[in-house]
This record gives sequence, structure tokens and C-alpha cells, in this order.
Amino acid sequence: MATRILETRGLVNIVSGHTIIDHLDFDIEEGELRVLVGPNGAGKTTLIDLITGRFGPTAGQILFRGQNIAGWPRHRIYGIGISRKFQVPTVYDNLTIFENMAIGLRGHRRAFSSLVFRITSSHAARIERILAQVNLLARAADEAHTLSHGEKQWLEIGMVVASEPQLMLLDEPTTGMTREETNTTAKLIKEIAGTRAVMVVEHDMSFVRQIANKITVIHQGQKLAEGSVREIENNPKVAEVYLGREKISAAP
Amino acid sequence: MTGLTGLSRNQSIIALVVIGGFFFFPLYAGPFRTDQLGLFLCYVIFALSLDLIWGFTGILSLGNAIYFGGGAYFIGLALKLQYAATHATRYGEGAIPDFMTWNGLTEIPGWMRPLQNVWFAAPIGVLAMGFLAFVFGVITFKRHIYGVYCAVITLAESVIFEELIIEKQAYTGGFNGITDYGSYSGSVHFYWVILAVTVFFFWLSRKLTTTHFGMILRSIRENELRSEFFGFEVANYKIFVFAVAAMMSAVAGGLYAALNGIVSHQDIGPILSIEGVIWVAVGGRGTLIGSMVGAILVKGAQSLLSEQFAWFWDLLVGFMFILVIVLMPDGIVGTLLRRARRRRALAAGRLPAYDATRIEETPT
Repeated sequence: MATRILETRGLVNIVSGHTIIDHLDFDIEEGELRVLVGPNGAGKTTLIDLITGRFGPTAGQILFRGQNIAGWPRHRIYGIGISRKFQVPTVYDNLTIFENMAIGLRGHRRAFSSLVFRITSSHAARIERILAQVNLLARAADEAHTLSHGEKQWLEIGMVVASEPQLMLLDEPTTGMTREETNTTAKLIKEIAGTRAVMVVEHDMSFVRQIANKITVIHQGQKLAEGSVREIENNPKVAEVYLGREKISAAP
Repeated sequence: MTGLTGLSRNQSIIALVVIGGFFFFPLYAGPFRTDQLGLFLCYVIFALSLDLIWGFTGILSLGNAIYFGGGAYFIGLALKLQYAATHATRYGEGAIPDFMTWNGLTEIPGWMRPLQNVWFAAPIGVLAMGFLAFVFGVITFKRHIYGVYCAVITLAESVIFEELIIEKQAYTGGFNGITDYGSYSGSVHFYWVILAVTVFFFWLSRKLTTTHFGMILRSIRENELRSEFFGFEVANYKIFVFAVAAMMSAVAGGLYAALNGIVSHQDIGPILSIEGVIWVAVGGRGTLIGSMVGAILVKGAQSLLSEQFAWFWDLLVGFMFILVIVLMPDGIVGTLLRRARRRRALAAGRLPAYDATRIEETPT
């Protein structure tokens, strides 16, 4: 049996009286690629925010390889190996694409060590390898604001890869992409996922079908269902929460 | 050579010509203009320090003059104490500064005595300002205060210090400030010292901003939330650069006091802080050169126009400021650099950069 890299136990998040996450027990195994789906407002992004320390939970535990990281500061959570991509692609617009990648690169996090840190040729080679993977190598010298929405998504995924996480949290990586770009992204995520745990939040079911083994459905801050793509698509409870839709497969 | 300065061959030549121009300036201009340029160079260092924290890191501080004025008061007071000690007859017995006598002090307070040695006062003043900035930085940045709130807090700090200086007149000279202590006015050697310090700080700022550290500062300016989730303890970077900038300002203030021969509450108050922001904005933030050009241009224009148009020169300066910001939101140097970058990008067959200021506030 595979060991768990992440588990949440009785996780609760209440924001000004509204329960966003409601006693959620959720886990991801080492090396797993997990897809998280759920209607808007289900608490998917909040779950990522709680795991990465944007907020502390109201109650409950977040265990990373058995260690409770709930309420830790953000840089420490990054330090033990958790990186995220934001829902809206968040890159440094006025930095070049290469510089964006260099910020993501693991190491040199302390102010004093960054004073003497130099990008070596092996760092550059690594950055170039990842840029080739996300189709941005030719653009390395351009500033990031010249990228399209979809390309920014790729750049941010590339930056997250460069930070060498043990657990990667990707919030809606295909928003704003054409069908073709989405397919490329699906391939890319499967490539990345080989060696580490990845959790992807996504709405696009055709994309989900391409990458997912196991899906977790969240609804009103609770786990509604968990299983294979087929199981989830045929689950009547899941169909019900996606109002007005016969089946989840009809979701956009 | 390029290893030490990080400049290309052409840039090195330009830098040498500019430094040479400043170096030989006193030989052609009279002592009045030389002193004036010396004071401007102090403002240049002040603007450089502001560019480090605002232009590169995105911290809008309206309290940068605290550290400039603080450094100035340390030196002004030290020189005054020294002067009073050696000109006893002028101030009667006790050899204490005139403003202390007027406020009923009969001897120099014990805690102030170490400042009688200016060579002790200078480093202590700079370190004290660095420490003060460190404390203010911890209070502000560890609590994730940024943007407008940071500007308001630093402004308030500036106001507090100005009030303190005016209030504690027995020790500070109050509203009239500290005057009549014998300055380095008219000394070409002292002008050259200021020039050397300015060049050193430009070199230091370039070093700080062109290394990996500088790139991280810019990433914080662009989006500090993103940087936090990439494992950077953003507050530490801000505190560090804030303290370095404060010490630069303190050095500039000290030189200013020694050359100007008068220190007053205005040197520590919010007006100078805000003027600094204007210089950096006019020159172009985040460019270093821009902040220096901005300081000299605006101060120079103020001085020349005030000589010509005694009663409406400040209107002209204000109008110039508005014109530059409306026509060139990146500032003068910032706009020129962006155009050059655009040309190079097009020549290399790459996409041109946008044509607008792209430094934005961090989303919450």
C-alpha cells in the first residue's frame, strides 16, 4: 500500500460565519496524480490556500508526510516541498521569462545567500530544459507580459516545476486555453507527474478524462465522492450537484 | 573592469565622462555653484536610496527623510558641539551651543557628550538610522503592511520625527534648527568627497540590483504574494533593503549637514520625503540613473527658476512635474530605456514590450 504524502483530518475553515471547508478528510498518496472537481464555491481553491498557508484553518490538521503543517508560514511550507500554481496565472510581468524561471528555481531563498547566488550554466540548462517542455524556450528573453493567457499558465507551471516540489498543487491550469493548448497541457502534466504527487483543480471534464486516474468531488466544503472517472461520471449524487446538468460529463 | 562594475564598454565610457564632468566642475564654476552641486549630490544619494526601496522593491515610503534628517542632525549636532567647545568666548562660559543656553541648559547632557567627536558621531548616526529603519521595517513588513497603508505609516513616522525635533528644542535647536557651526562650504575637497561617496553608492546600488538578490526584489515589487509561495520570506528582503537605504540616506544627510552649515526640521519632515518621490518619478523609478537625473533636474530647475522668477517658480516646477508624469509615466530615463529596449527587441525579431507603465500593486 502506497504511503500518503498529504492528508487532512477534520479540516474546517470558517470565514465570517460561512463554512467554506467543513470537516474535510482528504488524502493524496506519494507520486499520485489527483484531480479535484466541484462546482464554483465548493472550496477547491480554499483547500489549496489552507495547504499552502495562505490562511490557517479554523480547526483540523493538515499532515504532510505525517507532520502537521496547519498554520505554518508560507515559506516554510514551500521549504518542505509544496508549490502551487494560482487560479489566475500569476507571473512576474516585467521580468523576462528566463528571470521568472530563475525566481522559481529551488535554492537561494534567504536574503543573504541570494546576494551571492549566481545562475550557473547548469541552472541555465535546467531552466532551458523546462522551458522547452512548456514550449516557451524561444521566448526566454521576452518579458512575461508579452505572453498570452495560456502561455502564462505554462510559464507558471514551468516555474512550479523549477521549484522541485514533492507535492504540486495546480489550480485550473487550462483556463483560457484553446482545445489544442489544453491537450498539450494534459500531456505536460502527465510528464511532470511521473515522479511527484500532483493535485489538479479543474472544471474541464474532457481534460480531466485525459489525465485522471482518481477524482475527488468536493461540494460545500465536504467530500462528495471519490473514485475513477467512470465511477464519478455515473454517480447520481455528483450529477445532482451540477445543477441543470444530466451528468458531470456535460460540464464545460 | 566589467566584472567590478557590471557595465559594458560604452556604459563605462559614459560613466567616466559624467564622473569627469562632475569632478572638474569646480574648476569652471564658482564656489557658489560648486556648493550647490555638492548639495544636489546629497539629494542624488537620497534619491538612489528611495529608488532601491520604491523603484525596485515597490515599497512606497513617505518617510525616507527621517533617515536623511537623522543623519544630518547627528553631524550638525556634533559639529555644533565641537564648534562651541573651541569658540568658548563667543557663547560665554560653559562652551555649550547657543540654543542650549537659550533653553536654560547650563551644560551639555551626558548622553550627548560622545557626539562631541564628529568621527564618532558619523558612524554612530549611520548605524542608528539603520537600526531605526530595521525596527520600523520589522513592525511594518512582518505584519504584511504594504501599498497605501505603508505610505501612510511612513508618512506618520516622518511627521512624528519632525514634531519631536521642533518640540525638544533644548537638544535640537527646535524650529530654528542648528546653525552657525562652521561648515565645509566653499571646500572643493569636500565636494570631491561627496562626489566619491555618490559614485560609491551608485556602484553599491547597481551591485545590489543586478545580482540575483535584485531580481528577487523586482519579483517582490511585481507580486509579493507569488514570491511568498515560492518560499521567499518577503518581509526579510524588505527589511534588509529598507535598512540599507536608510543608512545611505543617513550618509547623504550627514554630508548635507556638513556642507550646508544648517540643519532644520524640514530635513527630516514629510516634505523632503515627498520631494524625493517626485525626483524618482520624474527620472524614472527602478532605473537608478533615473532617480539621480530626476534629483538633479528637479533641484536644478527649482534653483535656476527661483533665481529668475522669484514669485511663481514653484508653479513652473509643479507644472513641469505634471507634464513629465502625463507624457512619460515611466519618467524621463525610464521612457528612454524602454524605447531602447523596444528597438533592440524589434531588431532581434522579438515581440516589442508594452507601451505603458507596468508596475502594478500586488493583488491581495
